[in-house]
Amino acid sequence: MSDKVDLIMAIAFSTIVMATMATFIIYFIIIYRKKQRAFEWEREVFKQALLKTEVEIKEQTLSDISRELHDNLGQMASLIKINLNLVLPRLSAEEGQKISESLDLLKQLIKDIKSLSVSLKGENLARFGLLKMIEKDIERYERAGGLKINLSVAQTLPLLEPAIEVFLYRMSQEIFNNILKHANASEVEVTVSFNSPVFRLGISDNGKGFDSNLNPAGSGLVNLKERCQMIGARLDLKSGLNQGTTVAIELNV
Amino acid sequence: MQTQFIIYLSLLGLTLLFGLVTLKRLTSPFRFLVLLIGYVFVTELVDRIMVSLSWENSFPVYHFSAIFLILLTVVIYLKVMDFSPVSRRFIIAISIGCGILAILNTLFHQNLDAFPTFSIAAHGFQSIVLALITFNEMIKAPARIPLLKQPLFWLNCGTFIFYSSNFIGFILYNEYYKLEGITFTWISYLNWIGNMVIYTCYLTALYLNQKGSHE
Repeated sequence: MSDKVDLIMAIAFSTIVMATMATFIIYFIIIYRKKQRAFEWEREVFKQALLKTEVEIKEQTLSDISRELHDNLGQMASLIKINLNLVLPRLSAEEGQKISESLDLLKQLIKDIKSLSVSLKGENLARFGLLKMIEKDIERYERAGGLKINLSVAQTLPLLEPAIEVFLYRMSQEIFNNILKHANASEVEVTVSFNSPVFRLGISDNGKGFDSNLNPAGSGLVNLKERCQMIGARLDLKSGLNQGTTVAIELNV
Repeated sequence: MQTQFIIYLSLLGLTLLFGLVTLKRLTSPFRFLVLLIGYVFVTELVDRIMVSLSWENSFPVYHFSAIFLILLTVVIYLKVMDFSPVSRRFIIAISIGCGILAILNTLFHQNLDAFPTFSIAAHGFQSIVLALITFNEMIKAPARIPLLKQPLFWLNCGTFIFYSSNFIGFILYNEYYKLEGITFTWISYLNWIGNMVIYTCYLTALYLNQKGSHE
């Protein structure tokens, strides 16, 4: 009888121990997952802060380059233009012809410097607005890249925060950069639309495209994705070999 | 009992075989784990051979096993994670302490026929403490990969569950062995479940480690 009691005690005690161990493991898993989520959140916050700083530094650098272009190179080119205009009447017809051609090139250069300077300076967004800046860029891309670019804009657009406009503008520049560098396109379609509450900036080209399953994370695309994340936008990318590429940024406003 | 032993030995053999096949893809601590599993496998075979050769019992094997297992366990744990300096020193101190106790016990205290030896209890104590320290360190700095995909978690779970049940089982065994045969059977069964758990966990840990889910 006593042995039986001992046995029951042993079984009961061991069951309690086993159950305690199981509870311990389950408790550990719960606590660990909680900590993991907290760490993940901290990492995300840190990453966002880092990205924000990076963007601010980039904006500052672009602004400095823009000022440099405008104040130094632009001024210098203007001085050269004045000097050439001064010497032009004193030259022979043949020499005059050469200088006139150079003057034309110089005028184009000054225009390009001004336009580039404007597009690099983030503060100009506040002055001209996102659409005007994109239009200015489109002119430049058409001149430089030989592209035919169609812009279609919805009649009513929401008022966007200045910081978001900077992001959208830089993203549009990144997309155009990719088109000029890789797409080998001849036509580009830019659409800016608003279907409350979604603001959409879409850019499609008729270039060579790529297999988006094989090449989902080029550095340009990673940049776009990160910037979209920062402003809470969605990036929609569609591409296929010889089918062009469509990049759309959608943002709830 | 025989069937249970065959099932256990098959799982142990399978874990060892998997470890040997994937040895090149395993990280250093898990290679030591394969060595530990191999050592246990050989010990179990020697144990059976000794019994089949009509030795009185195979208990002396466990005296020597315990000392070697204490050494292997500390090597595995020190390599498997970057512990804080305090935890590291504590792990080394506990392991040295348990190792010395096991040696002294075998040399001077219990004779070789004693079972379960205090040396096994010392190894159990070391393993439980190391597993708890590791759980604590894991919580302090969680990894990004899901917990159930971390080899370290499975290694630690196996160690913790087996040695805790083993430790308590042997305490009960010491208490009841002389009194009741059925208690011995029940504790053996408990020990068998513990063995199944530990080698299933170790097999999972090896599988995840060779796949590259390193902590």
